[in-house]
Amino acid sequence: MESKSASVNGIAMRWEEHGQGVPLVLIHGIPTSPLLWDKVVPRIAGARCLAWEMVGYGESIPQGASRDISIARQADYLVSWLQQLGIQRAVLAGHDLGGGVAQIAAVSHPKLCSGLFLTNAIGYDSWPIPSVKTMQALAAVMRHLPDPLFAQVLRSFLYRGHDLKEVAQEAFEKYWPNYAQHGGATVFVRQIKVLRTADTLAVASRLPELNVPARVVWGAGDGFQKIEYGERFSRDLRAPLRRIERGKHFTPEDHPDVVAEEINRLLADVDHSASLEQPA
Amino acid sequence: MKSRPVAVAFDVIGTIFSLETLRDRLKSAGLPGETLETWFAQTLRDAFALEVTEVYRPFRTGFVARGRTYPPTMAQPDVTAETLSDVVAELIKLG
Repeated sequence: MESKSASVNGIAMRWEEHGQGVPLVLIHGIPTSPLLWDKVVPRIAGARCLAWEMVGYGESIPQGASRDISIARQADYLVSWLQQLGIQRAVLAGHDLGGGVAQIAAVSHPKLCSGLFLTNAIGYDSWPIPSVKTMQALAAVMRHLPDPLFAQVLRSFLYRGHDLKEVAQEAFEKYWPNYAQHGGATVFVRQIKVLRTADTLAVASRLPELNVPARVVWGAGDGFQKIEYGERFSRDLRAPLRRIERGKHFTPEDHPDVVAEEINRLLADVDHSASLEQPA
Repeated sequence: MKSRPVAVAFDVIGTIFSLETLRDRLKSAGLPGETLETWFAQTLRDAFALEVTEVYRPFRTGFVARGRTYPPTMAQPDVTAETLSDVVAELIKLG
């Protein structure tokens, strides 16, 4: 993947890009970054993959220091970025918080979204998860944790969300340096403080109105985002649900083959759908 | 007493035994002895934060980690993790 950056309305935004074809925007969650998709992207065929970095996350942590980094606002940032790139229509794929951003962007700008892919995404009232709610309530205590201790919190979070331990360790090594470099627990607290259920509840009733191809992949053993929510997305979006029975939360890292396979199927659905729209 | 309690919690550190032994160790490590109470209180605060996130780390690790970010310690670059670990070793002996 090629790292790219651009100033969008005064915000230094960055993303990883690979391939050519239909724009496919991949949106990560917490505590990850575009690197979440690094094993998925090489398996995607016929698409221009753009793994966008949420403002205030990954290498863009400094950009979030004095900005609203709620997921509702992230959807605005995402749309502004796409407009600046001249992308009028894209397939949106989201994991965790990124799934919430994708839903909000799709519902708010239906012409922008040509297809929707969700994997172990937040939605409805599925979030913040209980441990994050506790950390939100104790933000004043959490934010003081020294790096060696906060690193353990981050590691524990990643290990609980992966079904493959060696991948969990790789994930920690990918994501920890950005936290360590920019303020550790202070940054994490900044990210979680603005997580509000209301942001996804505001668009939940309009998900069934999205008239685009959609697919859902879910790690059925996810203790953070429960399979019942994947089933609900599947019903509301009229989307096939592919369960990964042994999968947990971080499906793009533990099961990139399955995630990529379903994204490729969605891309084919989008192609088919677009061809039906055109007059003979 | 009509019923037995389900559990009994003892406050151990600083209650059953004193922290005073550590003060001399701090001084001999080149750190101001009067920092002990604040350092210890902040270590407890960190332990509380870890507890609510369901993460366990040994007391020694927490004490040393806090010490390495504690202002009087940071002002003295020759105070290493090993030095701090030696200080807390005294506490472990008491336990």
